[in-house]
Amino acid sequence: MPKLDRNPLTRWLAAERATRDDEAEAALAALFAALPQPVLPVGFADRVLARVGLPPAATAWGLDRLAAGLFVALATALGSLALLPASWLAALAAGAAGTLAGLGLGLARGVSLLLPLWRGLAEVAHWASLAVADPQGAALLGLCTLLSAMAARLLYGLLDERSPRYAD
Amino acid sequence: MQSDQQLVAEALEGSQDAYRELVRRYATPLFRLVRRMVRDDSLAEDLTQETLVKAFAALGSYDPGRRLASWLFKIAHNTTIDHLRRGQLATTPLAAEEGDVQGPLDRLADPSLPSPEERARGADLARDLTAAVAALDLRYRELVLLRFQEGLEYQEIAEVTGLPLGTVKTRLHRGRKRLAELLAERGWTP
Repeated sequence: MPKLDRNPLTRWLAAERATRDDEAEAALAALFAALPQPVLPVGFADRVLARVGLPPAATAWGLDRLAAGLFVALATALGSLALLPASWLAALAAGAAGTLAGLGLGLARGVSLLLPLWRGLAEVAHWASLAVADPQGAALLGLCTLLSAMAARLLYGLLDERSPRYAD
Repeated sequence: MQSDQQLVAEALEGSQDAYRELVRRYATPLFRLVRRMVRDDSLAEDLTQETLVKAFAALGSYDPGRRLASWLFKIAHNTTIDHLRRGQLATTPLAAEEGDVQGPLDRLADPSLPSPEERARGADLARDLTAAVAALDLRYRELVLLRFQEGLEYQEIAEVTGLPLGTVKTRLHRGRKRLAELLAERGWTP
């Protein structure tokens, strides 16, 4: 956007005084061009199209994208379980049970709550480091992280699209 | 880029993308005009939406020999004037107008200006020019906006407003002079 400065104003007012109409018109148009432009709220086009009987494509497309993204993420996560060695699955299950038990004990005692929590986190970190050390596991973790980030970004975008706002 | 006439033809054949592109091209100019005429964001959005709905309903009657922008501005003009005539828009009280000048118009500052002093001056000018336009009589205001904000030719403005060409020229000349007076009252001189 061009800067709104005094030059077109000075030229315009001087041209008005001297009744130089063409110059005055050009300078005034330049002044208007420098004014900040209003922006319509997001979703305006959809509302217009809905009123003339056309589906709000952006919304439908957005929901389709979200559903497809979640489906792919779920299918990948479930499919990846089958790829893991049986010993990993057993170890993961045992580890999770152990963590939960540790946390339960900590809560029941009512003291040293942080100790089992840290122990659980350490256990999770331990299994994660084992997974990352293996190329197959590292690829799986990377894929899951990527899908999670994409799903979060998509969800944020959808929520943001539904928030009407003016940007002056 | 497709021409307006191509888009209209495709829209008439039922292309949703064509309708969407027409909205993308013209919603903001229509909103910009109506907003400065009625001085109310929410109402301007409603009237802009009404304009586009009417235009799409009457798309079959659009003459491809004319500029689509002029045709749309004419519908926006009629829609806004109808609304004003129905008295649904109360005249903005002076106090409210002054409040408006101090409120949303404060957002008009251009943050890219290099120094605080120049920035403040640019913001002041933007605010005062907008306020001066808002203070113009509606007869002049719409013509000034169509000519200097939207860049329409005299003949197009005559078609949009239904006024004789001579009247358009006269009112534009007077509107320009009045705008200069209003800015001078706010301390802007050459």
